[in-house]
Amino acid sequence: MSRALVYGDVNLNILDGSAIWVQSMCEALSRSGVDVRVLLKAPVENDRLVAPLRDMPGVTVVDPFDGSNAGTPLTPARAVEYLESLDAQQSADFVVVRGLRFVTAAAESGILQGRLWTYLTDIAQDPLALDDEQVDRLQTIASASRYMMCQTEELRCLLESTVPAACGRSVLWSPVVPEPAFDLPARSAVSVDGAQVRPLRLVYTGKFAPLWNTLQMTEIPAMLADIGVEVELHMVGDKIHDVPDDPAWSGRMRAALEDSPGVIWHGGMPRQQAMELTARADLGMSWRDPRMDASLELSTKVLEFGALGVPALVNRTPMHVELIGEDYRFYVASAEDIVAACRGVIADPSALAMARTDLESAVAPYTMAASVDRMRNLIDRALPVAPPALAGRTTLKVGVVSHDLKFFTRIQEHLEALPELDVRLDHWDALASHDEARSREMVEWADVIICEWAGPNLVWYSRHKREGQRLIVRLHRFELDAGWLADVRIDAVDQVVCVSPFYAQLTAERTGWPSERIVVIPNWVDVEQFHRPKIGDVQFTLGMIGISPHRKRPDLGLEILSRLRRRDRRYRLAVKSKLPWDYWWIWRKQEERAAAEQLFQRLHADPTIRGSVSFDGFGGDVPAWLRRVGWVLSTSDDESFHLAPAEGMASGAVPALLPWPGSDTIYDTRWIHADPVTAAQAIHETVASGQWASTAAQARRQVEASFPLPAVCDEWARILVEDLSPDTAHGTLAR
Amino acid sequence: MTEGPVDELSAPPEAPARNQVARLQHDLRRAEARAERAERALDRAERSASYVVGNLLVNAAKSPKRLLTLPRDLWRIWRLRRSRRSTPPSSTGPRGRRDDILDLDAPRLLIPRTSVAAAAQGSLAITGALSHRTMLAWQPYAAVSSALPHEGPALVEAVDADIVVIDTAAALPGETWEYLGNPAAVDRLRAASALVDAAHAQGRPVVLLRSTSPTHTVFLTELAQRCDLVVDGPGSTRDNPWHPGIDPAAWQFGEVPRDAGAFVDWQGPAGTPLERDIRAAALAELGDRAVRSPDLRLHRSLAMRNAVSATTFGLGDPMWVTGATLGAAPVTLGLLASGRRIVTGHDADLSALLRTEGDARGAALFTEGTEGLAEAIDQAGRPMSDPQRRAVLRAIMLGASAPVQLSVLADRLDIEARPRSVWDVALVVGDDPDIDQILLQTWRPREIVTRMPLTDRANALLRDEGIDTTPLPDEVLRDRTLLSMAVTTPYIARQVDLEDPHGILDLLVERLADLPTLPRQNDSALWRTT
Repeated sequence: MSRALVYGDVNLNILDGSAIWVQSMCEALSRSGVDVRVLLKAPVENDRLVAPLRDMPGVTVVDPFDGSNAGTPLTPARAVEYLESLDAQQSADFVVVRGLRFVTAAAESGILQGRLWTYLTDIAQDPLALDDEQVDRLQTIASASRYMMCQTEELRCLLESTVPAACGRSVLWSPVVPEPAFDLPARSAVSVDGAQVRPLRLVYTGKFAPLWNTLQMTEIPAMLADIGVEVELHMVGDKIHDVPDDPAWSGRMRAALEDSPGVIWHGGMPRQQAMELTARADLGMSWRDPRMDASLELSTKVLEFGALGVPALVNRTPMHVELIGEDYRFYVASAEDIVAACRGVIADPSALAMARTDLESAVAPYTMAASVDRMRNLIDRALPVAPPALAGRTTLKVGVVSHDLKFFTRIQEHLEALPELDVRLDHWDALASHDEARSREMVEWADVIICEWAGPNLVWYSRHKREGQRLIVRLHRFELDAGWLADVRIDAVDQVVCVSPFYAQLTAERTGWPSERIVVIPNWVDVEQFHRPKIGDVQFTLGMIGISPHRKRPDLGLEILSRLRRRDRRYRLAVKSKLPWDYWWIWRKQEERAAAEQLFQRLHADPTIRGSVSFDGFGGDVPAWLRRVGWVLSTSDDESFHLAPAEGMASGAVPALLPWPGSDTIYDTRWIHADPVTAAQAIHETVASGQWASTAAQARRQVEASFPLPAVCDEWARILVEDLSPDTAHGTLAR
Repeated sequence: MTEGPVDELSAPPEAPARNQVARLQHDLRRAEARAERAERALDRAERSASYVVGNLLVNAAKSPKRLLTLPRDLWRIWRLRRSRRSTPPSSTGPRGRRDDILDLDAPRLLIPRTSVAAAAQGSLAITGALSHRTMLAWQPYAAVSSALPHEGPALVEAVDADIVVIDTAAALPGETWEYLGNPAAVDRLRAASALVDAAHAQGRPVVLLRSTSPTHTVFLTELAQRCDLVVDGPGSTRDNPWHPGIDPAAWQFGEVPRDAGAFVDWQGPAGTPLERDIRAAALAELGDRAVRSPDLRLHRSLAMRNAVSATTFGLGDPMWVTGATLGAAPVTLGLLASGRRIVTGHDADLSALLRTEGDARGAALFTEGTEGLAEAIDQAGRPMSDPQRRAVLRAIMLGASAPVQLSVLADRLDIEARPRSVWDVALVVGDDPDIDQILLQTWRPREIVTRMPLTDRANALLRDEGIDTTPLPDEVLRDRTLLSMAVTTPYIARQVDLEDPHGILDLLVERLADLPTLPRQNDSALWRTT
């Protein structure tokens, strides 16, 4: 059983969103079989929230005030000390934390670093409002966190695009919809053949405040009565806000609640009772002032309406469109819209049923059951189980040697998370530059050495490793052209890992190394990180990731685009890449400059493509960017693997490759096209025939089966102690 | 993630010192170029700011009304000035790219040389994130250079624009800035912010044109605060109304066919339930009658032209405008300009625009919800009468045409430059013209041509209003060809009844829409000079 510490930096005597979050987080952990210790921030004054926590299986409430209801709430620093001491008593596998002030302090703790599961909502939600200091702070927090838990996809995108350390470790943790403790009531028809047979019931629950449009809501029954529609507006709540700029507002609001025709004010009500009343309504009111539209968070009220089978009248905000869809019937912007919507319901009550279905399916991912599934998945990823080959072994000491780990990060994280392994790093300053003393220490210490890249690091370790010490190297592509491979003592190398069968065979041919030691473990694709909803109609958007150096052949990408735009002007190309002049070692080459000149000349001069290519910069936020891409091109002259098509497939895009050598040993030949003309033809035929979505789904299934991160990581764990079969170096990786 | 396999592995590892030198040399070259640019620009910025402030003071001294707004204007200039880093070099010729500087920088390759529009001295130059429809509307009247997200700062540096505009319609699907305003597309927002910074570094004002729904722009609040002026166009809220206008000439599609059905812009927003109800009811009412919309696969201008030219009338876009939002969408105005009637729901802005000209009212058939829709659609099949067409065009020319709207914008920003003189008129007058009647014309002439020089007072009055006076000898005045060569405007009007405030405009509309010449007491005429 895994163990977690939870601290929300929230006073659990007050019922608000963050307190509810603590409760639902603990419940999700408890139902996932985690042993939870939740630390209180403030002395218990009432146990409305604490008592349910205590009742949850496996949850222990840690009260630093020893049951006293007196005392000062914990400061962030004190809370960190408490968590550290709790961890010292019994080590936690992970620590779930919330609240920017507290998390900032926790991220500085050397003890908690790396185990934080951080949930933040109290950050600026506009990237332009984030200053350097805030970004630095978030960078520190993200670096100290195993996960950055984001309430919505938009918050995740914001974080990833702003804080590089958040890339790859930002995950979704959505609000959890409360489950009703009653059966949902059946509702009778509100009209028959367009004639109203009973009052239409609207419901509002919550606070009464200007931005919530509650005063305007009270006028709606009268507006509808004027056009012959009978309506009851049930309003639940007893908190009427005082408005400093308008002291009379609260009086007007109270009077409206008491006197408005058609308004039935129920006052305050326990939550379950309010939910029961809501469930009997036809429409829920969540119409708000437009100033509320810019939130990146989801309204739990709307989710609650959905869970209770009550369609909600909501503003057309980006978040609501993302949640319910563009075509949801009950988006409103004004009282007139609400009147029109109600009139429409009387004329055609089936609209209610359709909207109910839309909203119900939209909120399905937010149930506790779905949240528990998500939690289990997160736990499985963070706390992986070693493959059978490692089971029952004493701790295996693994040294990773590289000057560049960008293709190894997830594998390294996975290996580090396995309790059977102790992983250390010998980081080389450059390809051929290292601290020899440190490398010698590594030789003394490690049971297994992994050389990431077959560079001079491999030469050195093959000549200095201990007898019986296992040496594994991963060779990518460029090393095959380097002279130093002749200096490698291949007898000292146990396994040469290539990322594709083609390169495995090429390595055998070029080096003459024993082919039985050359095996293939594919590159990893973190399929779950890429699996995100697309934004808009992406089937006309091609994407290229990385266009430098010129052997990536962006010119062929343009040619495909040009061919497509001759058929349909909606095709566009988005490029996620640095540009050639951003790499000094590329830009100094005359042939690269000439190719770039030619590329951009065409871009500006060719009327078929002018204005249809965007260069979207460079960064680790590729999964966020791929949300806007429907096709991922791979047009290179040469690649060892080229992850871009695989990542595109994982994102729900369709790959389109030109036949670079070895491409057919990695990708299904159905994605590989002879030349730009046939690639364009295949793309357009897919789009024009309405097959894009189903093709993208097939591509996604294929990448899940071919090189998912967990399977790749397991192979890496296995190779530490077992030789893999040289058969892996033949055939194709596509499944 | 896989942003490219490119890393320093590709560099030869055996020569690190040489690589280091190459890199430093490269960095030094770029730094020197930047420094040189900054020095020149700083010098330029000083002069530019002084000029603008001085101009404001002079204007304020002339007009008590301007005096009231002076502190606000000075504050705005100070704000711009504060953020200035550089301004482009002055030029006596057409403005355009600055190859001398940019050639030192590799990113020059990003700039589409052919699309950097050159502006004649004194005429308006605009760059920024512009939608296709705004580009089309403005191109005849200003030097417009549309920036793609990645080239914004480079283009602003290369183009000596008077105004940098971020048009939120450029962020709609299929447009070049698609996704701007979507919270998941942080890179687009940053690109827009970089555009603002680049403009301010050049001392140029930035206008955020919110011409899309509030939902679409809700995440642009911070960006809006960085802009110097935020204006709201059709479809957005009416906080600070102004719209880019249309180019009426672009919508002249010849004869309106009879019984050819309706034009429906399918790309319009999904809308509220009421909007949808009206649209659905209208489409149901149209039944089998042909409904045309732009073919998305084609170039948008061509697709729009094809679709509109084949229809008798159109459904308004959108069909219903709430009291809180602005109406008079460009497509709707364009349909009216092309002589098609419009069936639409409530649209107070369109209604107000057409109300200015009595005969124009019937061109748009407004319905309250779905009631009366059938009758409106039935009536819409009737082509506009000539008086109605004149009235509609007159209303659009005065209240919703791009040159007028751009002039308004330039006024609001205190910019000297003005839109190009596509429809400027030279007015031939007698020896003792009534200056007041000239100034009361709804379409004022750009130039007054006389036989006798006017009095100093008359000249001064006209000059204050931006109207030049040109005395010409009799023989030139009598000869159309010589006269056309002597004036600087594209149109000449003579014998105009100045007692009619629409005298010049009506002649111009007649010419633009190829309408029959009205019988007039005077033998008035208006003709093109080229």
